[in-house]
Amino acid sequence: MATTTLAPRTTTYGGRARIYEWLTTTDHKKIGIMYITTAYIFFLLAGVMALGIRTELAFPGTQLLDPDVYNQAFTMHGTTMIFFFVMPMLAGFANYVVPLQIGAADMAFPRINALSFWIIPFSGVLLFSSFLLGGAANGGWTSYTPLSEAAYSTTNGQDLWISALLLNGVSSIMGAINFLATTFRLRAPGMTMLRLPIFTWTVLVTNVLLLFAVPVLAAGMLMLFIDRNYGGSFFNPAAGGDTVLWQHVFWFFGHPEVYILILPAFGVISEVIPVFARKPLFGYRAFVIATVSIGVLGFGVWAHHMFTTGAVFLPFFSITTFLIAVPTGVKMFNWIATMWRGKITFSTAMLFAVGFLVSFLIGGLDGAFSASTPIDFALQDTYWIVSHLHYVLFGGSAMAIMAATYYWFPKMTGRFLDERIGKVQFWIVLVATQMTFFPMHLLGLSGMPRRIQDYAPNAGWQDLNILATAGSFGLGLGVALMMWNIFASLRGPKTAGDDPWDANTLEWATTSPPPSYNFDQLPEIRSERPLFDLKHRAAAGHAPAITAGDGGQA
Amino acid sequence: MTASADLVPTAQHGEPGHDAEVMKGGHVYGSKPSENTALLGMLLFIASEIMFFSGLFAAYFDIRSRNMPNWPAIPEGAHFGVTPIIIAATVILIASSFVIEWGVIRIRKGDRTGMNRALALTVLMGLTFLVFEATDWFILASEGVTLSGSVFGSLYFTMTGFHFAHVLGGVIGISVILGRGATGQFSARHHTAVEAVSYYWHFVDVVWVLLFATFYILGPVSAVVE
Amino acid sequence: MNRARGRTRRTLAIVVAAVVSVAAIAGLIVFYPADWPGFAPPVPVTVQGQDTEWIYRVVFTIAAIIFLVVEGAILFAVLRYRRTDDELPVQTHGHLLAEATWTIVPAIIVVALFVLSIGIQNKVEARSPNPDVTVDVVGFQWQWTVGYGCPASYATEPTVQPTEDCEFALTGLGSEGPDMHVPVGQTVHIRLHAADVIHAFYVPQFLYKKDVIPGRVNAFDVIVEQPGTYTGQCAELCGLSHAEMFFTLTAEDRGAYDAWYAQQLEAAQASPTPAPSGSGGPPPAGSVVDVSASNATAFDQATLTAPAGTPITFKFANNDPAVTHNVSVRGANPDGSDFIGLPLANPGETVDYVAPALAAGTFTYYCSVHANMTGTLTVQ
Repeated sequence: MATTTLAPRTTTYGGRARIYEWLTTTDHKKIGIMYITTAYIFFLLAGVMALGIRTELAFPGTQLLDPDVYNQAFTMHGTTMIFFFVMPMLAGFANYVVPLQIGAADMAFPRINALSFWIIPFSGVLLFSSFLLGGAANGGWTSYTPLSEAAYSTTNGQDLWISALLLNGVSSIMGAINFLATTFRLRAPGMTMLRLPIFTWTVLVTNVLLLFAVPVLAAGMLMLFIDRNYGGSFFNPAAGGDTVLWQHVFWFFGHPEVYILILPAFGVISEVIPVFARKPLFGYRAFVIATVSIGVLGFGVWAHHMFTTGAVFLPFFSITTFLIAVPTGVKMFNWIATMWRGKITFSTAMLFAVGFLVSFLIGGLDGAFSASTPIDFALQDTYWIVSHLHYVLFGGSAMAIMAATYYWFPKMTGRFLDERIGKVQFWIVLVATQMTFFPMHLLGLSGMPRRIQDYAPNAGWQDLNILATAGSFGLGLGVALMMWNIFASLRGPKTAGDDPWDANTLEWATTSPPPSYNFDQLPEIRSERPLFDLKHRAAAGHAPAITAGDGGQA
Repeated sequence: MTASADLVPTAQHGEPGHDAEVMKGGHVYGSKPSENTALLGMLLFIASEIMFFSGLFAAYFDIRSRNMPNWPAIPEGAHFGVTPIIIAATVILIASSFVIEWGVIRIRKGDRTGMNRALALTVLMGLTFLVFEATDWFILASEGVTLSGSVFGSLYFTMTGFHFAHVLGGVIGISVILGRGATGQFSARHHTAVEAVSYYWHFVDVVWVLLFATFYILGPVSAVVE
Repeated sequence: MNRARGRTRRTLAIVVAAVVSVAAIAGLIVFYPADWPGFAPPVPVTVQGQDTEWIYRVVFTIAAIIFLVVEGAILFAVLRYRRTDDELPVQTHGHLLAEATWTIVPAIIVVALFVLSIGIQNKVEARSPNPDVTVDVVGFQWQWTVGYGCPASYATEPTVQPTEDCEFALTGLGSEGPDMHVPVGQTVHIRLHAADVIHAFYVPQFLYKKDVIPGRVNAFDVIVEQPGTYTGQCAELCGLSHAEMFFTLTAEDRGAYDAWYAQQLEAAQASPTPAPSGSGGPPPAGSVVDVSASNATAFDQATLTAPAGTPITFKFANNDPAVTHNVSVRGANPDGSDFIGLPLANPGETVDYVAPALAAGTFTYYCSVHANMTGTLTVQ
């Protein structure tokens, strides 16, 4: 293990040795950075596909992508964004931050951690190789049977999709075991479960969800693979199988998956807002309870994706879906209460956190419409759903990822990302998000089904589609600015210092970047804000306001 | 950073003599993951495996309920039923669970030879199970129940097939542990790997019991009720 | 910084931001083009759709109020509580009463919405014991067949052949699909069957859709109140031409419906299904052109040639193992309409289609089931 070195090795050795060091590392911080880098590469690939989709939809008729390519494009866009962008991205931040936040030297199983990471680029390449091997999967990221069966999906894209996601799932399960073992066993003295930073809590619940949800998808995908290649008939009703079974299996995984994608984003926001409002997170315990109850309820809502199949018991899944709004609402109110009477500094990270609140609220409220079965009958499989899921996953997860990037970049590199570019990027992304995704509500409501490559010129959908397409190019510009910012800042001076944001949690109690063994010394841990306690000893607990003094401003 | 007086030095520098046992049960900063961590990892892995097989069992019962009362749905003229060889395999696998547990008890008492014998016997029993299981597959196939012949065949061969793969994995794992045991790597104090692999073996055993009950007890019962 | 001045500036910022936000929202509402889709679903034309619209309006109103309150609170907090000095704010860790309130109040709201929506669901999903009209709809890649007067066994048979079993059946031809008629003000029972993959029967003005799933028969009852012609579309991804899978639904009063029904019935009886090629049918007329298709992407032949001035017989071999096809020619009928090859050729069948004589020129031939399958016919 890398952590046995006494003195931290400095990077004075040659480029080749450095590459070898990265390729063989078991350091959770290096692995985290590799996760994040890989995820950003897939984000760009999937983003280009999104621009292709939006370009095609701007005008009626076929301009850029013919129906065959179009179906591949949105299938791969969804699959890549979910399994190769948001999941590895959040796993990357979790990898980097969680051991630091709990005061550990590394993950519980560092070599398994490295293996978990290396599977991701490998399975991603496997997935994308389908473009060169006769065509990618084209049945949507949900790959509903029988469309994804061999009779209707004749290229081997679907098989490569299954193989890639199985590998991806193995990586997720190993990662989940690793995170859970780390959080349960490697916490520093004094770091009780109710002193865990909220980001760590959300990662913990996320990994419980992964551990229980991903194997079910694996079972489903293996059955589909056997159907496609070895003459099985699991999903073939003509031979006694059940087509709807796939949907049950898929969504039993798929809905917890939604929380897998959003809970760590909640965690990021719950780190950023208290730091920049200079207040503790309002209602820490309520937040923990809300996170856990979202995790539990998340396993009881899957069939709300199947209300129109006529094959599920509607009231049960309707009430659970309604109820899951309650803990989500608690979080929203707690975030606002955290800002209330705070002293807010608007760094780019904080701006993105506010952007998250503003956008995620819309995605969350949309959920109430889908929970109501009659409304869902009208809205299911229309652009309303596309709007809803993008408000949650882009307005939610992606905004939080951008906040996390600006927030933890100084810790990872010792350098700030340019705040001026960051603010320009924020405003572009915020406006473009609304411009891209809000019109989709209206399009869906008026009857535009999702996953269509074309629509009639007289359907009245063109103007809003042009607006959405324009917005999507705005998002492209925002992301390009961010990439530029990252590349430019990596060449900048190391001015960040250990604790640039005057933060609360342990990752800021070590150098930037931290040594391979993370900490020389740890503050005593008496709350979920050990570093804050250290800087403001008298203010800890419920004591009245006290002058900050010189605490930690580097 | 300020106020270094409040900072607790960490112990990751591995000062010679730093002994994990000193802080009994507590966290030792920067130490190697304790043995409990490895066992916790195995339990979590088994939890995910339970969900994997749950997915398959859910598929079985869903498809079974769709096909009732025509179950097991197998082609005309095909035959499916419990065979002596399957009963023998079941008895052997269940017994092997006790054997490996006996091995764990031996090593807890520091009896390396006893543990090695138990592990060797477990491997042997596991291999016997695999051979019997594979033989039964060939008998079934010759009687017309195949993976591609019917949805029942798809379920049967997929579920027992994945179980087969898990038993095979277990046999390999136990063999590795046996190899390490033969070179004296385990003691009364340090034998986490033995404990971990025994958990896994028990899990595989339980899955088989459930498979047996599902295919050989529930299946024919419903047929008899008809 | 002067604290009072800071406060004035903050207040000013709040006022400006509030005015700008309100103005922006008001501007959007006032200047929003009337013909663009709005916040309301399409005007419902069915009894059930009106119920759905009611619950939509309830949820929308509550969501809009929550939206305004919460976004307002965010905006206020962001503008009001900017950092102006280095003093540490009061370290509030929580407030039990406040937290209990924003747990319990939303819980009451969602339970109330659940109760309301279940009430509406029971109305929307209610079934009449004896509907006035029963229609069987078969979805297949990428068209619809609508069967009238189908046997009662269709209620449970997932795989059906309305063209053989029903009094008459209409299959969609071209991208507009079939035109199914229903009487206004009467209970129409619609049963859904899938021939291949999952589709969804969706009419936006119904505010309703139902999946069409192989291996099961889905059904729903609907009472159309508003006469008119409505476009429906497949709403579940079903492959290549998912976006082209339309149908129309014409709702008319019972008299007109009965007349239409009688006319369709007569047409169906007048034109008995032509026998497939090679089974004793009339010998091919005019010149014979061989065409074939192996999948639903394209014909095997991208171009065909035929002599002018004589009827053209397309000897069409459907080698596609999965779905039906035919050969149709755009603008080939004497009245300028499309020549549609009927009956559709089932998988593995060979059917002769006799098109009228054409003048020299270039025509487009296509499969009327799969609008994406086209080729060029040169007549010389």
